[in-house]
Amino acid sequence: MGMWHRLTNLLRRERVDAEIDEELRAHLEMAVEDGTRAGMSDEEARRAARLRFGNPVTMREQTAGADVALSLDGMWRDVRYALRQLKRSPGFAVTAVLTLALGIGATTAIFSIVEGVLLRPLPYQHPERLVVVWQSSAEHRTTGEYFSTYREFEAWQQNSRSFEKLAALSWATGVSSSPVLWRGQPVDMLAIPVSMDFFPMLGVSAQMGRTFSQADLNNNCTLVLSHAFWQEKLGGARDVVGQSLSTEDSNCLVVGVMAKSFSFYPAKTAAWKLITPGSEFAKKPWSAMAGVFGLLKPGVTREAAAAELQAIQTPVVAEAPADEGIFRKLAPVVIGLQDNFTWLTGRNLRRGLWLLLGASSLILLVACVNVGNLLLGRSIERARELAVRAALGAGRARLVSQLMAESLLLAACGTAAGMALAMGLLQWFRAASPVELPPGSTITMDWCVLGFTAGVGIAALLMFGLLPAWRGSGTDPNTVLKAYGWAQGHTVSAQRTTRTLVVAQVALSMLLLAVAGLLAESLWKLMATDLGYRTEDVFTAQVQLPAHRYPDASTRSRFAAELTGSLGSLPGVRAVGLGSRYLPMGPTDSLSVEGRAESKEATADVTELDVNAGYFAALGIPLLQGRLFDSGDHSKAPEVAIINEAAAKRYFPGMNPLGHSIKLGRADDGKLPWLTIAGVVSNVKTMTVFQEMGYVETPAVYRPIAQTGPPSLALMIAVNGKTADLASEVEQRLSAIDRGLVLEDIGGMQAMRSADLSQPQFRTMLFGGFAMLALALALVGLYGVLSQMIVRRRRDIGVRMALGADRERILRSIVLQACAMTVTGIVIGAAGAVATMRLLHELLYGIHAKGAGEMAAAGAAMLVVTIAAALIPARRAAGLDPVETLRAE
Amino acid sequence: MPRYELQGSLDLLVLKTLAQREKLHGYGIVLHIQRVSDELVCVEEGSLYPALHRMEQSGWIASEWALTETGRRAKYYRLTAAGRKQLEKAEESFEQMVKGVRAVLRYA
Repeated sequence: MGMWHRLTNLLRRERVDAEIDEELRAHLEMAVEDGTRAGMSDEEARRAARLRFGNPVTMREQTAGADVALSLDGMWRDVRYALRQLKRSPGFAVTAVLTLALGIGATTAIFSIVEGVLLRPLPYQHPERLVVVWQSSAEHRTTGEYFSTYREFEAWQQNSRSFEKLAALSWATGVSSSPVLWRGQPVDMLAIPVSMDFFPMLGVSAQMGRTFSQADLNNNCTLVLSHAFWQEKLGGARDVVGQSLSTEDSNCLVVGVMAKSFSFYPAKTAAWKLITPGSEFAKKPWSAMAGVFGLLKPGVTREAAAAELQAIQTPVVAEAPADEGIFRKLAPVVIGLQDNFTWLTGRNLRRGLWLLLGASSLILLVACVNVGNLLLGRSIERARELAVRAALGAGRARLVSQLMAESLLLAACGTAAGMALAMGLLQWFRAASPVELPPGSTITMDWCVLGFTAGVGIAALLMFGLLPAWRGSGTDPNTVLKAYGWAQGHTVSAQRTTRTLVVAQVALSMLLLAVAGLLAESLWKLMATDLGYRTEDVFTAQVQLPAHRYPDASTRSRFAAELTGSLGSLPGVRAVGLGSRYLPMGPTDSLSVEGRAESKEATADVTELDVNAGYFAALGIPLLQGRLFDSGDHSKAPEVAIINEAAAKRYFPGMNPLGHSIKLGRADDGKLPWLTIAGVVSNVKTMTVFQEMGYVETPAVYRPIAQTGPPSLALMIAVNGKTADLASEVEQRLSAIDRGLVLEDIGGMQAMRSADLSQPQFRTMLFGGFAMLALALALVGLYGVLSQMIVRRRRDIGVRMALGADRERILRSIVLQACAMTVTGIVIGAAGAVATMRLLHELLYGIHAKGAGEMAAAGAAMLVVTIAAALIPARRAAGLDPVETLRAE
Repeated sequence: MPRYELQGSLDLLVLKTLAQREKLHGYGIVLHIQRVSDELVCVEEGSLYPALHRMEQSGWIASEWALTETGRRAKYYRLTAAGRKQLEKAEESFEQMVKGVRAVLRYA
């Protein structure tokens, strides 16, 4: 017949069918003719012929089945049939598709995000050899705590042989946004000082113009701009290369603009400024702090490099001038850049993301189990239908192919919906950007992951959809037809599987719910903790005092006093607080107490903050002993200090600290003044980089601005009512005193706090979402299973009711069954949650006794919800009319 | 007997019939085989038609619609060249099988 005929047969299935019909009919008629000729009546002959012939339908099916090409057409038929079947039970279809979509979509989105953030290599050349060098003390050996000094960098650059390139980049204190003039207009610019080899080390070049060259070392100030700054603040001016941006004290030449795809930490970098031999870094290398980055030579390990750097560092540090207070006990630590970035941008980002990955995998599992369960139940329902079909002559292959069509249809819809969901989630993530991502990382859909999750979903579908059909179509249709309505053979094991699956679902949901509850509680406690200072109704901002107009402490403190007075007269202002920073954070100085012997090494134990008299009032920090600063603490008066409770406890345990003298440095350092302690204030809680979910109360020493005159001031103005309109008024008052000053970082203190909380919030929200999802899936699963169970046992229930069992008992028995499954699942889930607590402990805060209380609450909540879900089908069962059900059989 | 072998035999009988009778419809094939084998071999219509269609797909026989003596439309089959070759092969393997079975039976 050949290929052509096979293909044309495909298109003309009906025609072929009709032909076969005609052929068989002709055969029959001829047999009848012969019969009548032999003497039988027409009727007898027909009957005899029919008997011999057998079942015409089966025959036709088998004849057509021999035609290979028609099997394709058969598949299309199966699909149409499957579509019809699914339309008849829309609840099942929608549930299955949604479940699959949620599982696939959520997992794919999370995987893609994790991959974009954690797994993609950095967008620089030789990312695996790029490292960062930190100085660390013994406790934080693996993460690194401190910048190196510029002197150490110079020494390394001269002597080290482990690196192809070494570069310094600084964002330490003292480096902040400052205004520059562009075409006469002031613009805020954060210029990060970098050494010459910075761009070559990363192997990147400028998009417009060039990066630094040797000639630039002679200039005072050379800049390479970031693309974002150039685009947004300079309006994308095409002629920017070669132009100057003028700051207060110099003209900065712009030599190039980087590409849009290039970025480096910190994300807000507006420009990179070359460190020249004439800069502060080179002139006072022991005071200048910088982060050191390097490109290792091929084959050099990080440990070897660290050892070499230590060896170079030790003799150099020994030469350090004693008054600089250099910490000598630190050792350099070499860390891969990729790892460090994720640590920098989000302390626990890594751990959080892995956790989310685990959670979404669980969701996928639950979704598959759910769908599988639905299919299992459905196939049990359809056992009878399958048996009838088998009796009518459908071969095993046909039955299986029809069921497969249904499963594949569901899988296709589920995958398509899942893909749409994943894309939507990724879009939202990109827009909302709840976490600062490592530079250059883009979040795109990982198609491999989509393929994987879809594959898992389809596999689950096929397994649960086909397995019972396979076994079912193997048995004698007779037994199934006769036995329908009673638990038999394979249906018993199927029921057991179903129940186990429901228990598994409940367990997984319980696990997620418990974890989500713990995270939520931690977050809530974290947010609700009293920080010891006021955050509401406080206007915050910063002001930089440029060095050439405010060259010394007295001009600066005079300005501070003038500003305080001016702002104090604003309407609605309760107190004006000024400080060198917003809050005392991060121990940076050592403390000596007069009259006490001290250790030889300088250590970082306290932090210093210069404040004005109104600071404590503005932030609502209570005074515990002694007095606050007042107008008597001016530059001619004896130097005083106020310490906080933590410092008092640490240095004056059980004593009265008032009147003692302390020094922020070594006792024999003649340049530092002795400070008399005038008062003790309450502690303030802040967050450190090392511990995301927790606060520290750093021992702090406060000094009056009038006596120190810091170059940058943070404003904290306590007001009655809203702070929103205050910005323009404050700016006006500021300009009135000095027109060249710019108000920056408005709302900065609160922004810091939100930034601290943003990751825990994001994590908790996501986990909460997962938990809700898992719960919904478990409920759907439970509901589906119970409904199917009731339908199966309709006859059973009918008989019981006819025999006198009352509604309540039926209801109770069904609900009890549901409870049994639920409780088992809850217990298993709780056990799992306890096991994972250890992984979580860094992400928790304020949880006691292994969170037993929270688990119990989660378990109780699940139980209540599942009982509610079980009541609906139970009610329906109890409402069945026994006569109806018995008759329906 | 396992289905496959039986199927092989049926194919053989049909091919042989068509070799001898040039053109026949399905009913005719059944009658012919019945008659020639003296009612010893009875072909089930249920297996015949699928077999005919299968053999047609394989290209061993060809079909056309024509009128019977009584004026009824029926599908007639005839042997193709490929079919003739297949017939030779089938006959040979059948002979071999018979020889083998007989040898085993004779072994005392």
